[in-house]
Amino acid sequence: MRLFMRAHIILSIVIITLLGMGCSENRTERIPIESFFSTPEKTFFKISPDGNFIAYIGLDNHCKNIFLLNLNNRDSSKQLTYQNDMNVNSFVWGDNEEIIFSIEQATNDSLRLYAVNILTDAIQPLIKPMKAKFRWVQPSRLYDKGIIVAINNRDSSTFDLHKLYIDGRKSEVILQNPGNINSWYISNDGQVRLVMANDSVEESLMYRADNLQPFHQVLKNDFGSTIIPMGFVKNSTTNIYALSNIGRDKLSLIEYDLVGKREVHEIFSNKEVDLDWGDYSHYTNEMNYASYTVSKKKRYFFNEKVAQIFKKISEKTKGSEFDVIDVDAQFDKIIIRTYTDTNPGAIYYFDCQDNDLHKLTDNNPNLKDRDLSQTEFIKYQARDGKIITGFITYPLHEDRKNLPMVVLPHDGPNQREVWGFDHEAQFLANRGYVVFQMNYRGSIGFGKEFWSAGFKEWGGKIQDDITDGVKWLIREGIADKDRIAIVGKGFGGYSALHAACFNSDMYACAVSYSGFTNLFTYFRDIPPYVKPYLQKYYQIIGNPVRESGMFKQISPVFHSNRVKIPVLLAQGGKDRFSSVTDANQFVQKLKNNNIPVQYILKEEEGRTFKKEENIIQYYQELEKFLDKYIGK
Amino acid sequence: MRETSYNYRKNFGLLFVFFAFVTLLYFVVVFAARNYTINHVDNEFTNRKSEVFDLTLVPFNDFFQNRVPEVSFYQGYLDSLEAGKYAYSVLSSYPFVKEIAFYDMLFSNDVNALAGFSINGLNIRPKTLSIFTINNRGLNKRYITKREEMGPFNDELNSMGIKIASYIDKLQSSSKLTDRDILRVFYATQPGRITYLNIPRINDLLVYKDIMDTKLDHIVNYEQDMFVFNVDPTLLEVKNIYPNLYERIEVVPIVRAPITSDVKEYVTEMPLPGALADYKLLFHSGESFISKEVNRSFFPIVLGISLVYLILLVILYLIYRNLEINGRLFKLQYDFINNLTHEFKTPVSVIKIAGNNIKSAPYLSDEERIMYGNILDQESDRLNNLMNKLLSFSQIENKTIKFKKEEIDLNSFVDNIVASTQLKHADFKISKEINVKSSLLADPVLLTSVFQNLIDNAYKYSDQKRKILDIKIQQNKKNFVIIFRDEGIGINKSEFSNIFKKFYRIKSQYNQQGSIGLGLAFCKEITEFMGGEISVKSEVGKGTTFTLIFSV
Repeated sequence: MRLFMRAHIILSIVIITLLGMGCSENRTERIPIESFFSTPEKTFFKISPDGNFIAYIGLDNHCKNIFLLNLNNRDSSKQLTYQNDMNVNSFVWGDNEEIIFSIEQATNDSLRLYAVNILTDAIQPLIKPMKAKFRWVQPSRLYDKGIIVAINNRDSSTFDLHKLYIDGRKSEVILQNPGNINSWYISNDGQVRLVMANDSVEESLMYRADNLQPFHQVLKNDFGSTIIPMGFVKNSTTNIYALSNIGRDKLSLIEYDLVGKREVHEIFSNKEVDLDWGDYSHYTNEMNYASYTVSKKKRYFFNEKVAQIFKKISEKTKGSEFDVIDVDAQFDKIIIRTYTDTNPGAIYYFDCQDNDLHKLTDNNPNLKDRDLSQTEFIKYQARDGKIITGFITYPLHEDRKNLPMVVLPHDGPNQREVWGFDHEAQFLANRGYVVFQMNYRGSIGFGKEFWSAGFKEWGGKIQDDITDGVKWLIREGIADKDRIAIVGKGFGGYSALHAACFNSDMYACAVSYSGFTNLFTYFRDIPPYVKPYLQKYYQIIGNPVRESGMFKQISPVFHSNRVKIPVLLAQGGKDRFSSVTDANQFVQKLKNNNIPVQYILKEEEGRTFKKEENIIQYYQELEKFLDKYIGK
Repeated sequence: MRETSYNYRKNFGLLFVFFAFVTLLYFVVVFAARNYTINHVDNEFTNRKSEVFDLTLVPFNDFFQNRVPEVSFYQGYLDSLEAGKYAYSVLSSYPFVKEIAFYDMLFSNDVNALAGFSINGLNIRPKTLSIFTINNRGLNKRYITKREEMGPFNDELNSMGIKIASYIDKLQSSSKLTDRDILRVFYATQPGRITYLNIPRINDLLVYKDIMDTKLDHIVNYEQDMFVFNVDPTLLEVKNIYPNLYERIEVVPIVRAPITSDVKEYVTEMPLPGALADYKLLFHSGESFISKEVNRSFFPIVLGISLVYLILLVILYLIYRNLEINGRLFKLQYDFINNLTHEFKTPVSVIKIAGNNIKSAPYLSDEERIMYGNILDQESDRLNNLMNKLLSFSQIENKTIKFKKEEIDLNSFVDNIVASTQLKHADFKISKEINVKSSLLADPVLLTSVFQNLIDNAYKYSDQKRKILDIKIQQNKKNFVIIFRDEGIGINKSEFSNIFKKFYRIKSQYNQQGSIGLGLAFCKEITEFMGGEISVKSEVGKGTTFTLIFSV
């Protein structure tokens, strides 16, 4: 009898195992979280102007350092810097021999700028370390042995232009900021002829014929309209290429006459969306192409040679989309990043000599050759008729019916979703959820009207756009109405919390990663150096003093009593926009009301978690949380 | 037949001792329970006050822990209009908050500002100062603008200013705001008043520090909000959740001594915390009130104890009854053995004598041999008969025999029995009248023994000259009715219920021998076993009628 029982047990185990194996064939294997969110080891690829070297930031001794690839002689590739307690933050090619770089130990660290010679490896400091922030000014390169950067050491709220020399000359302030200038454009001869000033809501373009003349206002934009200079037209010091939506809804490529103060002509535009940056060559001072993205990126070429090169690259990437990261002066070597929705791709350089791609690094080697989910472009109508675009990523091996859904509103709201490889969406789809991302009104890239439609609509029409999309997907039968989670970071997190407060019926649970719990706090900590933008924030969100009633109405922290669904909250202790005190209060209230709440507090982190273990932990908790409340 | 004097031993003394003990225990327990109840009520009076205290303070704690810190959510952006809305919601939901003063504060490094509190270049002054109260018409606002009116409100400002300044002074850029700091610096609690300054971000505090270190070269203004809540503890709503324990609960100043009066009173108190600290909760109850409570809680206890006592008494009665029944059973069995031995004794002794005579006689004549043979035959038949009767009776009792159903033709069945009886008793006159259409479904052996018994009884209990039996069988729609009517000695009505009992015999000259009192009991058992009924009617001296009823 006993023997029989044992045999029986063994038999059952075998059967169960077989059944288990049978199931796993149909179900997607869970790819480890680490594979999705590991930080790449090699980043920041930049090619030297002569196309002989590629420099990148890699890891040595757990610290980010600059490495150099010699394209003509791979064997003489080398490590350029040897920081072992600091990270190289960013660098630029000054010329064919000098690389200028900044290092820091932690965020908000002192400013340290150095130059390194790639032939001699000699490193020299360009300034004394100081408590300040700096910005590169485009095009960033050496002009008469000096690099021009913007530093806010005089007054933390304004940046002055400094020229720092690599030949031992003393650095000098070449343009003191009267207080409102926030962008500068350097001509090829090193003169700063063009600046953009921003007076609270209005921005104005200022021009001077050369460094010795005073600036004159060329045009002044009311809020919402903008002009983004790209560079001077070839052989001209008065005409520029610019992206502008003055007098039109979508950003279009125009030529502008700074002296005549008029738009010369529109070069290219798209009816549906704003143009992207495209490609203006600082070397040739010509537009190579304009680009725009409705669902996938499209390019419109002005230069036949470039068009041919891109055609060749397209053939080589075998259908993958690609972005250009950097090109040399001759447009001879092009660093690109390939990607599709299901493939994180790799970084290559294309060499026009041998017409071939050369791989520099894989973007996410752990995800190579894994089965990943396709992302599809969608459009739907919001309740007031506005067309909202978005993307749906379906889990593999599932009927596209009645699926648990994760709604993933993007951060911003001044951002947009585009088609491409999305780690977060892939991670969630791999866990069996259909992922819904949308460009709610207020997202950028769809024109002035669409953007400004989101003004003062936080928790209002923006939230309705998200809700309408979810309702649409329920009606379509794609989403299971009882298993919908809303997950987001920053503004997306705010939307999730808002939904938890006011739309508990629709969602089964909500996840906020650095979501804004209190919009008063959001304003309180706008740092001094973005004060010029304050009025803009007032326009976009509202004025916390004059419209405090509305602020109270839309801030989740005041409505924690209305939350009826489980909430996961991840919060960095140094997050500028939402304070730990508010988050604590919110969590405490939920606990008092017996609402299940999961709270991840990382004191040392900011708005975006930087430490890999913290990122992984967040996604682990997210995985568990979603499994529990909308999983099978 | 003589009465048996043997008896089952019953010890009623033990039962009595048990009863006495239980009763004593009952009174002891009731007494102890009463003492316990008095102590319990006394303890409850002093212990339950903390629950009343907690419940009474629920709104205050909610106000202090949730509503006051809510000010910080506004991050200093409150103006007097929005502050009014906040004040209205607080004043209307917490009646013990009497008045709210709102200081719309500016922290700045403007040394030219004359008003407010200044320390090391940090100027803290209210832009506006509004006082909110509530009446039945709604929110009542008063703005303080004149300097002379400011007087009483300056204290709060100054003491908050000093606290903030000394905290900022010690602040390091790496410092973090701990909960302890928050409570110590941004709350000021004194009896009757709570002052709260919205908690600044640590970055704001660092700017204030820079101001105090005169590091800033341009004028900055930072908004902060300060609220002063005046609370009146006497307006706290006391939640007396133990109206049975506390006759009266009051909020009185902490210094008031309990008034002693002639009437004895139970009194206990509990001081209120924090901003309410100059008041206490005073709990009173009169002596009669407390004794009423004692009685009230004693009643169910005494009820419970009595119930247990009653159950014990019932058990006692059941034990007594059980003893009685056992006694009767014992008597019955004793009778049985007694009678049976007697019954067996007669034939056995006759056989013994016959055997002895045969043994001692030198020779036996044919006459003698036949006589002794007849005697031995008769007596052994009698023994056999006795044993059969006993055996089948105990079988029926134990339900070990099976009921064999057969169709019985009553005419021939009765003829056979009557013929064999008259063979035995030539002087027995049996008449019969059988009027049936169908046959009866029954066990013939068992039915024979019922008939035999009833016929034997009729013969046995009849006068020598009137040995007459009339058997009538009729069939109606449902039943066969079988009637045996004799003209014997009859049975007294009072014996009707007893004659069917085992070993019961009516004392009479007719049953001196050959009867053990099983016949009728046996008949009843068998009849009922076969699904029939048996009943008796009789008149003393005139005769007896037994009626059997079987269903068709």
